[in-house]
Amino acid sequence: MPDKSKIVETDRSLYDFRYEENSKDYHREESGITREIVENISKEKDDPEWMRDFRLHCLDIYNNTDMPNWGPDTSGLDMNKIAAYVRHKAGMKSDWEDVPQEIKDTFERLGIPQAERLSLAGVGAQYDSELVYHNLRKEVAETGVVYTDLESAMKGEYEEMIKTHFMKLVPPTDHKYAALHGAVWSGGSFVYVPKGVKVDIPLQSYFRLNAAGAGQFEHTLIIVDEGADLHFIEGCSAPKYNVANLHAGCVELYVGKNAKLRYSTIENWSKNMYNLNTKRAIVEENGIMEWVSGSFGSHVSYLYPTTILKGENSKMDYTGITFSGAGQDLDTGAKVIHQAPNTTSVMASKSIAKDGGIGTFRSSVVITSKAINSKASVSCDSLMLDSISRADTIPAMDIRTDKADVGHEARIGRISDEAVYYLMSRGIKEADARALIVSGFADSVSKELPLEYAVEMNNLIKLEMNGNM
Amino acid sequence: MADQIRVNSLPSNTFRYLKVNDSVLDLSGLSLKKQKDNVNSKIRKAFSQIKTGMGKEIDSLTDEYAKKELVQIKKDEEKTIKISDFESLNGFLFDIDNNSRLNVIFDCSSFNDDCLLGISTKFILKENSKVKLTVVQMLNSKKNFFFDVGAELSKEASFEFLSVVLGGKDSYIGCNIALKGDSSSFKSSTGYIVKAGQSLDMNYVSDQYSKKTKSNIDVSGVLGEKGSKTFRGTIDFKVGASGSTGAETENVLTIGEDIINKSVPLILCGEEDVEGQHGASIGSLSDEILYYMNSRGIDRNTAIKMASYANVMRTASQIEDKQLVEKIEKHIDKSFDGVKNGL
Repeated sequence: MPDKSKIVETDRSLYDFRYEENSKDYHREESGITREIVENISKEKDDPEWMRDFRLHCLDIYNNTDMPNWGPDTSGLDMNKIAAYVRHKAGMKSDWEDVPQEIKDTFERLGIPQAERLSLAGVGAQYDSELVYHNLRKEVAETGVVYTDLESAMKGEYEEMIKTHFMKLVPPTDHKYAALHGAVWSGGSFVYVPKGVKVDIPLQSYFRLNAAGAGQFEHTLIIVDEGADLHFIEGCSAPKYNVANLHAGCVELYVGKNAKLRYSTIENWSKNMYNLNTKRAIVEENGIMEWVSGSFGSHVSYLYPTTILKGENSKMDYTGITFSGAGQDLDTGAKVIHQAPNTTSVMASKSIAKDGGIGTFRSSVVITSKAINSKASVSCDSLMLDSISRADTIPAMDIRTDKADVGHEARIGRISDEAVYYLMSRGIKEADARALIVSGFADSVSKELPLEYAVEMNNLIKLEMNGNM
Repeated sequence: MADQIRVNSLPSNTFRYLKVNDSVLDLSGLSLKKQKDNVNSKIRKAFSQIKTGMGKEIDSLTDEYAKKELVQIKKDEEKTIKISDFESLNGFLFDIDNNSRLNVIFDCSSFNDDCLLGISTKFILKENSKVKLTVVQMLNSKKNFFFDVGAELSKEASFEFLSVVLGGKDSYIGCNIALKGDSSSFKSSTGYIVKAGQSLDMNYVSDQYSKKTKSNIDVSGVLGEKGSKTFRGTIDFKVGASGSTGAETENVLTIGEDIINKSVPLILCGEEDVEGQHGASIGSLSDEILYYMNSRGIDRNTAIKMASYANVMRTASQIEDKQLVEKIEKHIDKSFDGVKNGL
C-alpha cells in the first residue's frame, strides 16, 4: 500500500471571506458580560418590561452557575473578550434589494437567495446579532403560517404566546450558557404553523457571525400545532479569526398532537468558534420530532439536541454526523426523555476524526416509570482516519420501567486497507478512494437532507478530505 | 475515617443529572482498626502503581485498615486458591511470575462479623502468565459488599474475571485492567440477580496500552422489582494499541416495577487501527417468547425463572468449582420460591 496522502491546509475561502466592520455602519457593545451591557441590549431592543427583568434574572443565574465538569476544554473562551451584541445599523428588511450591499454579497456567496428562489418557503438571514432579512412566500403566509423575527413577534399579537413558551423548555437554570443566552439573546426566528397546515417545502434560517471576538445568541422558537407538518433548516457559518468567537444560541420546539417537525442543521462555523448551543423539543401525543444534524465547523462544540416525548405514541428520530479535523474538539450527540407510554426513539450517529481532531458521541436515554412499552435504540459508528486523532463514545441510559426495550450499539474502527486498495486497483487515487469511502459512511445522513443540502454536505466532506472541491 | 467515600468513577465524566459519574460508599457505623503494614516496601511500591476499578479512596482505605496478604506464584507454577474466611476489610496482593497459572476463588457466601465485607485485590502478571479470578457473593440482605480489582499485565499475559452477585444489600464491584504488554488479554463475565432493597454498582475499565491486546466485558443479569443496578464499562484504546480489539456486551432482564437501571458503556479511542464495539439489550421477556414458552406448556413464572437462570449461569457455569456452582444453582432456585410475576 502507498503511504497515506497528507493534507496540510484545507481551502475554506467560500466560508472565510469577510467584510471589515466599521463604527459608522455597526453598533458594537463593549466586550464582557455585565449588568450594564445586559441593560443596554434590552434598551437597544426596546424589550417589554418582563423581558428586561428576565434578562437580569438570567444574568444572576449565569454569575452563580459553575462550568460543567465534563466535556471539551473551554478555557480558551474568555467572556471578558466577547462582545455580546453587534448589529448593522440598517435594521431588518423584507426586500432583498434593501439589504446593505456587503451583507447581501456575503449571503449571495453562500447561496442563500438562490436557495430561497429554488427550494424554500421562507428565509431568515441573521448577520451578527440581528436578523437582516426575513421573508415568507405569500401562498404560505396565506395558510396562516407565521415566520418572523422573534423581537417583532414578542411585541405584537404573539406576545402572550412568546411569553408562555420562551425559555420554558430550556430554563436558564439548565446550564451556565443557557443562563448566558437568557441574559443577552438577540435575533432568531419565531415560527407558528396552525392546526392541520402542512408546509410542503422547508423554511430556512441562516446565521452568519462576521464580527471578530463576538458572540451570537439567537433564539429560535417553533410551535407546530396539532396535525401540522414542517421542515425547518438551519445553516451557520463564520469567517476564521485568531480570536475566540462564541455561539450560544437556543432552539425551543413545540410539536403538537399528531404533528411532525423535522429540524435539519448544517453547522459549519469557523474553527475558532466555541459552539455551546442548546436545542430542545417537546412532543405531544402521536407527534413526531426528527433531527438531522451535520457538524463540520467550530473549535469546540457541545451540542446535544434533546427531545421530551411527553405524549403517548410520540416518536423521536436523530440522525447526525460529525467531522472533526485539526484543532477541533466536537462533543455531539442527542438526549431523549421518554415520559409517556408507547414512545419510541431512534438515534443514529456517525463520526469521523482526522488530523488530530477529537470527535465524541455523547448521549442520554432516560425512560421514566410512566413510559411503559417504550422503545429506544442508539447506534453510533466512529471512523478514525489516523492515529493522532481521537474518537470517543459516551452513551448513558437510565431506565426506570421493566416494560421497555432498549438497544444500543457502538463501533469504532478505521477505513479498511482492502477497501482502499480495491478502489485504487480500479484507477481511483488514494485520497479520492478514502473520500469516497467516507462519503459512503456519511450516506445515511446525506440521504435525509434535501438534495441541495446533501450536495453541500458532500462538498464539505470532500473539502475536509481533500483540501479542495 | 470518612463516613462516605467516592467510588467507581467513570474515566470520562458525562451529564451530571444522570448521577452516574461516580457512586458513594457508606462507611458509617463501621469501626475499623488501623493495620500494621506487613508487606516489604519494594513490593508495596510495585503494587501501589496499580489502579483499581473502585479508585483511589478505596485504595487508601484498604491501605490503612486492611491486613494485606501477599501471594506469590513462582515461575511455571500452577495453583488454585479458595478463600472463604474474611475480616471486614481484606487486602490481597498477587505477584504472578512468568508462565505461571493461578485460579483464585473468593467464596463470599457467608460473613457474620460486620455490616460490610470489603475485598481489595491487586495483581501483577508477568509474561505469559494466566489468572482466573472468581468472586461469588451470596450474603444476606443486611450486608454491604465491595470487591475491587486492579491488575497490570505483561506480554501475552491473560486475566479472566468471573463475578456472580446474588445477595447482599448494596454491592460494589470495580475492576481496572492495564494491558501493558503486547498481546495481553482481559475477559470478564458477570452474572447477577438484584431484588427489592438491593443495589449493584459496577465499574469495569480495560486500559489497552499495547499492540494486539484484547478485551471482552460481558455483563448479564436480572433486575427485580425495586432493584437498582448501575453498569459502567470502559474500553480505552491508548495511543500505541494498534491491532487491538475490545467488546462490551450487556444483557438485562427486567422482571419487576420501580427499577433503576443505569448503563454507561464507554469506548475511548486514541488509536486508528483498533476495533471496539458495544452492544446492549435491556428489557423484559417479550410476549413472543412467553407465547412460545406457553405453547410448550411452560407457564410465565417458570419461563421467567428459566431466563433468569440462563442469565446468571452464563457466568457461573465457567467457575471451576463444582460445589460452588451447585450452591449458586440452589441460591437461584431459592430466590424464586413462592414468587409470582417475577422477583
